[in-house]
Amino acid sequence: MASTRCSHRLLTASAALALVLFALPAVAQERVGVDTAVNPSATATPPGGTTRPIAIKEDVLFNEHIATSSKGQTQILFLDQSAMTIGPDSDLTINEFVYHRTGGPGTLAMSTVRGVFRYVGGKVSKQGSVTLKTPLATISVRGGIMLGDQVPNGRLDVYFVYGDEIAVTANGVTEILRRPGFAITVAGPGAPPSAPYRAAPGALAAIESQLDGQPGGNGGAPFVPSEAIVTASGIGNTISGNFSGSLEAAAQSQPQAGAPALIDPTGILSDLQVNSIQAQSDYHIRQIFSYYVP
Amino acid sequence: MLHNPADLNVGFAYADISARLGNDEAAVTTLERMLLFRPDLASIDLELGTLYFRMGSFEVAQTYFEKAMATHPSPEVAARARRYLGAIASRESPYRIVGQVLLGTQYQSDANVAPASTLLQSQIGTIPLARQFVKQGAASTFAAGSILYSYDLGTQDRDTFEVGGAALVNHYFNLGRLDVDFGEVTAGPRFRFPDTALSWAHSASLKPYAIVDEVGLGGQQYFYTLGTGLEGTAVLARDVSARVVFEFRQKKFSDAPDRPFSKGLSGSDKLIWLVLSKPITSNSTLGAELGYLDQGTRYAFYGNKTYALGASYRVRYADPTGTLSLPWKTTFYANHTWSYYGAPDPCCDSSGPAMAFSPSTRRDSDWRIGISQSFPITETAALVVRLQRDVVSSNLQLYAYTNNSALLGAEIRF
Repeated sequence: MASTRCSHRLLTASAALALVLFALPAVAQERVGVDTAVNPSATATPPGGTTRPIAIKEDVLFNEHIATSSKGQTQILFLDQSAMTIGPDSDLTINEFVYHRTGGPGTLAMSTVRGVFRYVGGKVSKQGSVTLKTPLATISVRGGIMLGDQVPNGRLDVYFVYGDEIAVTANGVTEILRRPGFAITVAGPGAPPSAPYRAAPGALAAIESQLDGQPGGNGGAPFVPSEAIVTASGIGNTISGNFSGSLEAAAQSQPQAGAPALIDPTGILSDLQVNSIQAQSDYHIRQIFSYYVP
Repeated sequence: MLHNPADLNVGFAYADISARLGNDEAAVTTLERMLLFRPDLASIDLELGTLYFRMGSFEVAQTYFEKAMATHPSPEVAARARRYLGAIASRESPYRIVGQVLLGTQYQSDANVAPASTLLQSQIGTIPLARQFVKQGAASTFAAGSILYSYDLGTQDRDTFEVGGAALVNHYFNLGRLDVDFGEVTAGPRFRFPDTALSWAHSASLKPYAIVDEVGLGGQQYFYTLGTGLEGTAVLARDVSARVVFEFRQKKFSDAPDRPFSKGLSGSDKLIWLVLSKPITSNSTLGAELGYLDQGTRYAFYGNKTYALGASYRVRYADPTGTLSLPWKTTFYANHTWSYYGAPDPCCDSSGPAMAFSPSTRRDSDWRIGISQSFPITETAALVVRLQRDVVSSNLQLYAYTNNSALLGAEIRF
């Protein structure tokens, strides 16, 4: 099959067909991604199903509700290679996922009620629409990476990390994030989004710390990496070892004006019209000009 | 990756390939998963910090580098993290200074941009020009520099306030009356539009600015300028970069004993300039320039309208001799300008009836071709060699000349 399509409309149609031919769960089981790391505890509840603990390598299903405990974390890798990581005391539901492997715009719609999250864009976010609904706002991502924190029954903070833009819409008002390190806050129910502002020092680090593993946790992996394994992989030579390449990439990500052009020492006399006036002190030219010009 | 996300070998290989292909987001996803597997790996923090650094997300990058430094890193990891933290410190500062300096010497076959003929047809008959106003070869030493100070105004779109400066000192060994001392300052805000919502322009910037300059010739003030300008830049479709400049300059010239009618050049300049560039391959760029300059002057015969057309090709390639580790750069360029003056010039008689003075309105045509070769010694320093030929033809023989020049200089960028 060239594409994976999971929309409400498709689901409705499929469900009707399934009721006639097979059983409803067969449709609801459609896979949208995989749990690629899980620190306990995290649970998944399929629509109409029972809650179960989730583990690494398990499929994430359409409309499944995922939740973490006070120490739980999980990373979901979607079929379009985008990823959503949620931290402790967080939840997430995949409401819609349309992804065409052969290209074309897709859709990823998620919702959350609480918790911290990091979304890293994949193919859908570059070509189509990615939205995350919270009780306070709808967040739309175009390319890139965002961090967020939805306090239960409280404020929402959205941080721009990388990409084209993130739009936050609440109470009929939309604000746009475009610059890394900037944030938008929705103060509470019924409030509009704030204007974009530079995030307070440490705010991003505080969220990252809730998403990057727990002391003693192994994400469900049977074998965990070590410094020796990382070194042997050679990835350090490709990424951090290429300092000049990193500088060049960083410069491209932040277009800045260069210094003015140098003045040409060879063409300067011509540019200054010196050829027009240099013979003025020649005796004859001076006589002519004295007579002719005012 | 979806089949076995816990396979470390596959994960690192995937992150490596993604980073090589410029898909930093995919590499981030994979390495952040590694931190869920084990959160206390300084080397993973280092690589993640570098990926965010590449993306220009310096706050997040700093978080990972500092975490790496706090996780008992190996000396190599610590050294790399410190180096990146230093680079972040310079980029996080709201102000930035960049510039370049070119110091060197040049020889010009017609250094005084004068005609080759010693005889001039004038309204009082054929006159001999004094020798100093006829073509002279001369060598000079020069120092050219430019600098840009920009201050980040802290807006989301990275608007800045910029102060730019350009200066040139060019002194001849034996032609002191044509020594040039030039200094110019421009200042103004640059407003950026990272997403124009236009199908033909991805991003753009607009900069209104003020201009002040002072120019000396032969050790005396030549003129000063007050003006304003508006610069627009845009990244267009197909990777074409465009820069368009509108300038209005009010120039006030001063006379000197050896140029008693320089004030006749005082007036206003109106300039429109368009520069386009497009990468042709990963190591070469094609450039084009279109210009129009309207020079209004006190003496109408100095006033002119000039049209310019230029093209350049710049290519970067490995040192064919294997002596230098950095790539050489070669630029070929050619420009043509046409100048149409505003009134008959009293300097010269031109093909009128015998015994009757018949001045003509000046028309110049200037061809400039050249090649510039840069030999980088370090990332910021290079030797520059340039050969150039200017051929100016004019219907008035006083203004026609041909100048061949050779330039050797040392360039430093900062």
